[in-house]
Amino acid sequence: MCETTDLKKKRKLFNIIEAILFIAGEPVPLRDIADALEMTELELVPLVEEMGRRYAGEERGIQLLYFNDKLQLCTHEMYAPFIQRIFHTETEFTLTQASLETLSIIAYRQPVTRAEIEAVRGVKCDYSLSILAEHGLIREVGRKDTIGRPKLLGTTDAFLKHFGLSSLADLPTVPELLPTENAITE
Amino acid sequence: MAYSVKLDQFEGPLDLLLQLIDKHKVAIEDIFVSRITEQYLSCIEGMSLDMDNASAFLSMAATLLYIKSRALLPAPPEGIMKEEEEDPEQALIRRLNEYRAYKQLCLALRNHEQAALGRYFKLPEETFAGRKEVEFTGVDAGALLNAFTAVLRRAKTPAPRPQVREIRREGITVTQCMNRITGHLAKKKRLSFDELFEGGASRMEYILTFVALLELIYENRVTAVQEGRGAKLFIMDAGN
Repeated sequence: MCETTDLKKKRKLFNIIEAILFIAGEPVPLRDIADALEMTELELVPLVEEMGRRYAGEERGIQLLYFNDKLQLCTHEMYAPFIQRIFHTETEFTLTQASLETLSIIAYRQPVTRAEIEAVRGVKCDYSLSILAEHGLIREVGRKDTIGRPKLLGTTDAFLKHFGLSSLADLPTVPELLPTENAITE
Repeated sequence: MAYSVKLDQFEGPLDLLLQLIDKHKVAIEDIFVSRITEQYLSCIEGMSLDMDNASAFLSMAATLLYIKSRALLPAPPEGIMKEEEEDPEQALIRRLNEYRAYKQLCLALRNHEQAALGRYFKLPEETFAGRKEVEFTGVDAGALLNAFTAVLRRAKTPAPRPQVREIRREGITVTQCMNRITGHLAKKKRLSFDELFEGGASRMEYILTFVALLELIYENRVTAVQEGRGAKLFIMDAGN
């Protein structure tokens, strides 16, 4: 008996969260939802994770994104062709090789200056950087305390979304990169 | 006799070197005993480059030739070489290894990008997003002026002007306002934007406080954050 009331309660919470996210459109901080439900964030996290698994498991048209302690609804990529058929939309942009290289260096080394990126790539990066900033994938996070106080760059929430990552800890890893972490100084 | 090698597009001198290395199935560590240097030189010979890129490719060519020339000379006796200085060979090998690692990460990120490609998002509901915005339809300039003067009236109006005026120094300076803001922040971690302007101060004081805030942000001493559109603006110590 007790179990069924628990299930009912959980389903109700799922439904409330779904309603909030539907109307919000943009990412909603977990904290705000926890406040609205009069719960702690700690209590909410397992619920949200279960919710995400359920959406994914049923391959529903709407999927739950959980990134950087924020929640957002999006459509399942599997159904993109049908959406495109009706709305004649194009798929989202994909980055060029040059932009992607620049972005991956920023993602793994952030905060990083333009000179440091160029040292790794061996070519100028102005154009890639302007494209990345235009798409809102990178932002200025501060200035380095060296001569000229160069801008320090980092990635944004839009970056996580573009690559379907839930946090920077989710970035794919390559073992070779670890020992050379601070190697470049020129 | 030179033989030509077809390469994919490359992103720079390091990329070109890596592609040559892969093409000839050479280990990065062995590039100086292979024919990669010659390959590289003949590759850039036939390239049409703009000035920006040309310098990067030429600089790499110079490095390769320098390394080659070093190999022809007897090694300097032990102790003459400065210890901290990295061999140009080692430096290049390290750069190539690092660059290759990033190329691999790029591939992984590309897969993530492809997987996330078909996702569509809904824009925020207008009823909610618009809540902080002003509706201008059907409003003329006069109404806007009235509204604005009403706002200005809320700030304390100065006493009626006497005939003879003395121009006084403002009682408060931007520096004082900056100190006040940092003082508040020392006590409280987060301040809402509105909190800064509490207490019915004069218009000049509001302006100075705002200038002080901009100055603090410019100096990277505080940061302003807003979580989402139309949300409250908060001021935080930049150290946090």
